[in-house]
This record gives sequence, C-alpha cells and structure tokens, in this order.
Amino acid sequence: MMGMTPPLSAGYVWLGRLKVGTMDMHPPPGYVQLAQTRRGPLDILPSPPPQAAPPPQPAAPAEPAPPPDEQAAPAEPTPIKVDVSQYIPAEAIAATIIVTLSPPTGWALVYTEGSEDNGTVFKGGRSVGEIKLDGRYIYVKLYGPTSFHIQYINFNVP
Amino acid sequence: MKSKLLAGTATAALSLTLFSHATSAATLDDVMRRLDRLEKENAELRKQVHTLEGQRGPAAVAPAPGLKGNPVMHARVAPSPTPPPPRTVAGIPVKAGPLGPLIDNTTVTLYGHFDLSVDGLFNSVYDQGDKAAIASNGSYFGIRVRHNLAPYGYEGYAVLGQIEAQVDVASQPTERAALGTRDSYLGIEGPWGAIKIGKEDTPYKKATARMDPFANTIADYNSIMGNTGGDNRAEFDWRMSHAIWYESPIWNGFQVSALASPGQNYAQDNSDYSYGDYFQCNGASTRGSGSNFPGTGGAVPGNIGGQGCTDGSFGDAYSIAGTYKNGPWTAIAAYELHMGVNRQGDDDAVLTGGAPLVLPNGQIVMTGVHNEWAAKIGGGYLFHDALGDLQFYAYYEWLRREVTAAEQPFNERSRDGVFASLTQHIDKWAVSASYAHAFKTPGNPAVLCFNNSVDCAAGGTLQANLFDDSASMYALGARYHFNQWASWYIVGAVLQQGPGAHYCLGPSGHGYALCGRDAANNTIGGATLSSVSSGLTFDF
Repeated sequence: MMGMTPPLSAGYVWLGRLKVGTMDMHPPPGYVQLAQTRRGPLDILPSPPPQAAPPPQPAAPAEPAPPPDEQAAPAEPTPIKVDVSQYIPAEAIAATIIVTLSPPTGWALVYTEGSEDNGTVFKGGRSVGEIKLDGRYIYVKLYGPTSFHIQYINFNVP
Repeated sequence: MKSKLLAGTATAALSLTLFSHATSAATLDDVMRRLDRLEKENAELRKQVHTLEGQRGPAAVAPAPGLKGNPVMHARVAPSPTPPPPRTVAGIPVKAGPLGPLIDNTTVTLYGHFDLSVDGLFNSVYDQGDKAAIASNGSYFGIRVRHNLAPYGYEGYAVLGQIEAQVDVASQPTERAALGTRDSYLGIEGPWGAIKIGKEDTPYKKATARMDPFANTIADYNSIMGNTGGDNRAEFDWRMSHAIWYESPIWNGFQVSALASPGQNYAQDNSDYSYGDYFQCNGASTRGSGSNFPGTGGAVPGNIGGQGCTDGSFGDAYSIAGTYKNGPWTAIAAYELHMGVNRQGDDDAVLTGGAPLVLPNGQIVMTGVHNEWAAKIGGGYLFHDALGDLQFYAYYEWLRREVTAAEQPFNERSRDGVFASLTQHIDKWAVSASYAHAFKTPGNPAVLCFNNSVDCAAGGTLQANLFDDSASMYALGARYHFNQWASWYIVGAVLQQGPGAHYCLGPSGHGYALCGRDAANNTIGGATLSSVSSGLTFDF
C-alpha cells in the first residue's frame, strides 16, 4: 500500500486522490524496537543526501599544528632517562632488575628508546623483572608513583 | 429516511475503514520521524567526536616531584602513542604473548640467538689445504618464564625457569637438537640474588665472556684460553651439568657467583657416566672422549656406561667468580676445580688392560686420575677517544693438574695463558683485535705426526714432550651493528704453535673446530691454522 501512494506526511493519508487527516497515535512499542534493531528499515527511510566533506580548515599561521607523533605523547607520564652503564657492561642485551616504587601504588614501565611497546611493567612496591637493553640508557614511565629505585640483579651477555 | 439511513451506514463504514488506515499511517509516520531524528542525532554526535579529536593538542606535563634520573621533556624520545592499558590478572599487570598469560603473574620470554657464517679455512696440514665452510656458531633458542611472587606477599621475589636449546642451524640434525641442551634451570630470585638448579655456564666461564670480541667465531679465545690440552675442548670454559649455583645481586658494581656440581658417578675414578647423563661422559664434548652409545665407536663394548670415560671425565666440580664493573673500570677474579679428572686414556692403562704406553725415547706414560683447577684475574678499562669508545680487556690464567713429580713429563694440562683484546667503537662499527698465548707445559703424553704422510702412516714419531708446545693466536676483525640485536662481522685469525702443540681454531663456540689433523685423524704437531670468516648475527 505504501508503495502505491505518494510519500506520507504526518497526520494525513491518501484515499485515492483525497488527502484525509488522520489521528496521531503512538506506534506499538514492539514495532519501534524492531525498526531500531533491524538495518533494513533505516536503509529505505528518507535521509539527507550525502554531502561532500567540508574542506580542511587551514591551520592558523600563528599556531601550526604539532606533528602527529607529538600529539599523543602529552597524555603520558614524562619518561625518565636512566644510565645503566655504571654497573651493566655495554655487551649486555638484557638485565634483571628490581624496581621499588614509592608510593607503592600504580606501576612503572621500563623500556629502551624506540621500544616502548615492548617494555617491562613493574607493579607494586617492589617487583623483579627482566628488561631488554639497547645501549646505555633505559626509560622509566611512572603511572602513579612519584619516585622509584632500581636494584641491579644480573645481566645477560649473548 | 431510508436514504439517510443508508448514508449514515455508508459514513460509518467509511469511517471504520479510514480509521484503520489512519492508525497504520500514523504509526509509520511516527517511526519515520523518530528514525530521522535518531539519524540526525547520530550525525551530530559523530561531528562532535571528530571535533574533539581534532582539538587534542600538546599539553605540557610537568615531571612529578621527587623523580630520579634525567627527565626527558620532549616527546620524540618515546614517540609511540599512548599504549593500551596493560594486561592485568587480578589487578597485576602481566606481560605475555598474544595468547595471553599462561599462569597469572607470569612473564614468558621467548629469546634466541642466530650466528651463521661463511668461512675460508687455510690449514697447513699436508692433506688438508684450503676449504670453504658454513657454520652455525652457538645459535640457540630459549624460553624463560618468570613467576612474580610479589602479589602473594613475597615482594621482589620470583620463581624463574629457563629451557634453552642449541640449534645447529646449518648442520645435520642429531640428538643435540633436543630441548634443554644449553643453559636450563629452575630457581628463585630476589633482592639477595638467585639460586638455580640445572645446568649453566660456570661462573668461571662467564667472568670473562664479555672480554672476547670474537666469541663463537673462528677466532674464539677458547682456542687457547681455558683449554688445557689443545684440541677442540675448553675444559675451563664449560657448561656444567647437574649443578646448583648462586648469583648475587650487583652491589655497587660487584657481583659474586658460585656453582657446585656433584660428580654422581658409579665409578670411583669417574670413568662411568654420571647419574642421568646417558651415553655422555662428564666433561666430554658431545659424543666425544668415550661418550657414545653402547657398542659403538668411542664406548667400551659391553655394559651401559662401559667405564670408557677416561679422557677428562671428572667428578665433583666447583666454580666461583667475582666481577666488578663500575663506570669505565672492570675487574674479575675466578677459580674452578674439577676433582678426580680421569686421564687414563692417555696412558692406555684401561683400554689396553694396563699395558704401558711407551714413548719413542723409552718413557712410560703415566697420567692417572688427579684434580685439575684453573684461576684467572683480569680487568678492563673503557676509554673515550676522538673516534668513540675504546674498550680494553686483558686477563692472565693459570691452568694446573695436580700430578706427582713422576707424572710431570706427561702433564700437558698445567700451563699459564694470557689474553688481551681491544675494541674501537666508531659509530655503528666496532673494530677489534685480540691476542691469546699459551705458555709451554711441563710435559706431554702424546706422540704426534710430523707434517707428512709417511710419518703419519707410521703412527707418528714426534714425541711431543721433547718440543715446545706453546702457541699464539692473533685475530683481527670488524663488526657492524645494525642495532643492539643484529650485526654483521668479518674476522681473520691465525694460530701459530710450537712443534709439540696441537691447538685448534674455533673450539667451544664455533660450529666446528679447525684442527691440525689429517684425513685419518692423525694429529700433526705444530700445524699453522688460519681462517677468514664472515657472518650475520641476530638476537631476539
């Protein structure tokens, strides 16, 4: 029936060529639920024609946009650079350390430059773990604690 | 009246009809309006999300008070995006592979090392000449599992297990490919260090491992250092089986390690296999020196064990080392003792039923069963010159076999040795040179061949204890580090030795040893051996 009539407008129905006013009634709740959960009805419903994406806004000359790699970093704790070469030989590729965090809540992420995704997490007041080494520096990010202490336990030379 | 009645009836019927249609039409219209509104709301929300994402800009994060170290204030040092929240088990972050943690609070580390090389071999032995070869040099694969005990009330403690297997990447497959052939153990570690049980490189071996820039290459310092008799085995650069050991933490740069290994041998002279070491003599190279399956070459026929472990099989062993590393300074001191080392294979007392082995000059060889020990001290210093870091290492070594005076003329296990290496780092390059020297021993039980086929065919007439058996190895090479994990190297080595010596290039680490032996396995005294090798390494 709907397919044989012009598009409907609220409160009216076509009877032949006559436009007849109708009562406004709430639809059955079950029907609304069906329409919201099925994808089909949404596809056939009238919707605004697709619009072209707005042109990109030119960056303000006074404040150029920061490079992408700097946009995500500020949400992170500031990495703390630690020189391990005092006690660990340059030939070592891994070391076992105990990290003590103060206060003993949260955790610390220990990693080498460029390998943050492959870092080691130290949780709690005092925990032992192995870290990879790549040169004389490691970086520590504190998620909660305000200070840390590193105890060197051992190291591995290939 | 009748027409009015008909008209009323028709109106009523039409009203009923229209009423039903009106209900349906009103329902669809309302749904459409609601869905249209939802669509608009959805589009609005998307727009807001995009706007918010575009507005995320840099905001300085001040370092928290009390932080130690040098704060890095720019983000380029760690340019990776915000990591996802760490995987947690019971509130504790854990690190595991893509399949997730195997056990709670447990870290599983897969690690390994590749070292493959192409070698050019230049042997002065009359029937050997020049050869090309390909070698897998101490490549291995391992699994290390650390179970964190902190959540259970043991802060700073963990149970640690490791299974490491040698992977002979380039050679024929043998039983050596089995898991657990290299450093493998179970232990517990904490603030006071670690205690482990299993098998591991001895503290004596590890004390100077970092000093050799050509470790596992054809120029490995084990051609001389820790190598008591020459040939292809470095007795005091050993991975000790059935052992228990302690590793201290690093106190202001100082660390001490100690290991004990019971001989656990049926035979009092240690001529049998140790408990659990099937068809493999304690202290022998794999399937060498009396180690083999029953009834096959190398093993005494008959019973399992065969009491054929007479070429260096030892009983209880102890090893201890102290190392110091503080800034540019390095210092080491180490000692290792092998008790009851059975060398009766050299005097033939067992294999010939006690018949004496007589040297060309009439001396009767006596070697017996005695303790052997080694000690070394050394150090290093890291200079900073115009090119970069310059690392210097050197150490002196004493090797001793405690024999009687009557046995000294046949004692090739007592001597001194010295080693030095220098590595100049230039950006990603490291240019290294090393020198190792074996001083003369007090004696020698062997009769070697002169370097010709006639003498070797006759069994040899070179009585080694009448000749100088000192030796020197010179090595020079360069390594390019792509990063800490991958490198390419090229190295050349020359081994020069006295007529009574029979050292090899590349024992204990390289895929094989280049020795002064002919095709019939006769040992030629004083062969000059040299090699050029180029390889690729990768650690993960």
